[in-house]
Amino acid sequence: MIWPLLKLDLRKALPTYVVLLAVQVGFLLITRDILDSSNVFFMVLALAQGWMLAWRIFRDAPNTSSFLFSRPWSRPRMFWQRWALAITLQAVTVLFIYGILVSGTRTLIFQRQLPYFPMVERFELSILWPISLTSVTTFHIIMFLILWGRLGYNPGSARPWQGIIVKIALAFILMTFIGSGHIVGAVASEGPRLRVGDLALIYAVAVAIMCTAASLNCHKHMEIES
Amino acid sequence: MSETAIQAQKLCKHFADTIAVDQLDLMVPTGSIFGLLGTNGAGKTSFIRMLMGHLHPTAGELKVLDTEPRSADEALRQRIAYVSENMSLPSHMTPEKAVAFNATVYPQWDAQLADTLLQDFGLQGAGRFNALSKGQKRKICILLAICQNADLLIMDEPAAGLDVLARREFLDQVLDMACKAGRTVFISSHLLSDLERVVDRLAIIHQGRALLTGSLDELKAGVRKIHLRMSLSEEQIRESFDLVRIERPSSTETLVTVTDFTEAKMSQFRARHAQTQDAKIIALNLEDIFVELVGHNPTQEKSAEESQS
Repeated sequence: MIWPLLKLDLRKALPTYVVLLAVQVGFLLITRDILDSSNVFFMVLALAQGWMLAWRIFRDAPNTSSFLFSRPWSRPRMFWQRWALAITLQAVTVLFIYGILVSGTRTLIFQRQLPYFPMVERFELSILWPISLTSVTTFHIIMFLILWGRLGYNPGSARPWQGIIVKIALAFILMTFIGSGHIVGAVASEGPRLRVGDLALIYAVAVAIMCTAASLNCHKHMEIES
Repeated sequence: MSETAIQAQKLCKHFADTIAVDQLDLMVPTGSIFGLLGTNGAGKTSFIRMLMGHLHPTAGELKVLDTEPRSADEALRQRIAYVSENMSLPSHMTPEKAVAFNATVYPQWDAQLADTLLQDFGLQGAGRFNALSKGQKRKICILLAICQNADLLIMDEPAAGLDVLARREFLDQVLDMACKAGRTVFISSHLLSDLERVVDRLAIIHQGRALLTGSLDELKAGVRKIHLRMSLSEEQIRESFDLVRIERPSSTETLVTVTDFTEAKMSQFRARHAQTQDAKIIALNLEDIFVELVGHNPTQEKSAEESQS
């Protein structure tokens, strides 16, 4: 573990992370509606969280990156530590929401008179999977786009027209990811034997593995500005 | 420990259509204070960034402490300290926090020296990094590098932005550090006076190529201007010397700058051309040498010839 780097990354990521977590917890405690797996507000917050974590942790200011990348830490070690930090923070969010749901806090606030509240509690746990998958998938895609974008702007390879090509390619990759996610959902909902959850999980795992491998490669080969 | 701290052979770095470093050959002996001198855009920063593994060479071979910078492991990277031209610390860091940060990163960190330098440089209680002056920012970056106690200290324009007093203090510190056994200091600068005070070996780089490399004494002894009271052709001079520059103030005078002057060669030259007995030999200081070499650039001429052919 590289403690000084961990502290720096936490300092970068925590303020926005805490705000987003507070919004999620606040919404969880305020909304009277019974939560289900298609809750758009939670999906948007999970997407924002994944995006923010990738952006805050993996994007360094140009001159600061010269400072960081001159320290005696190998690039793979830096990458894996930052990746693990982002995954941990996402897991903490899910655990936080899980804790609130299973502790019965919502039931206590809103549904204490209902005879079927234990069933509501179990039903509301179904929001955890979509939140996790959305956050993790978004984080990995954005992490890859940030690092791949950096690689495309390596001063040793950049020409003016290359910047435009990189931007177009990034847009295509993003559209492909989103489009393939949509196809997965559509196929799952139409097929009689397919479950959306299973396919979404496979899709998210596949995206995470591909993006992590590609991002690690980009992290190793990107050139540092100073 | 190897005798060579840095070795570059036919090193090239291209930025799209721009050639930053072009077939550079350079050797920095272990334990030396080596200066890299060049004008702005000569390729100094690109070379240093390749030393740190921040840029990847387009071609050629580069070794730092016997290892390719890109494959340097963490143990090796602990032996290299670096001050980049525009290095910034994270904006929230105060000098004290930066010192505490580096102290946890480097096992050989010199805490006592860090405290002393914090006081000497007036950095104690100076506030966050983004609130510091340009000079203070340079000082904290230099402090962090010096106190690291590294085997190799690489500095890109370290004294830029420092006032005269701080520059002297810093250069003295570099000298002190270099006196410790085995330390190698590699400094790039376009400030001749700074380099002349501290370095014991020097390379003059222009348009990505090393024009001349050697100890200060070797350079000063080898690069001379010869004033001849006669007209000689370029070929006649090249028979005896490595010619850099030839001027003809009048039809009966020739002023040449050579890079391999020795008394023995001069004697042979005199023997070959009887009318050169009254030739006047002019010694040059480092600034004159630099202007003579860079002001008239053989590489540029060669490239022009190649493009014409």
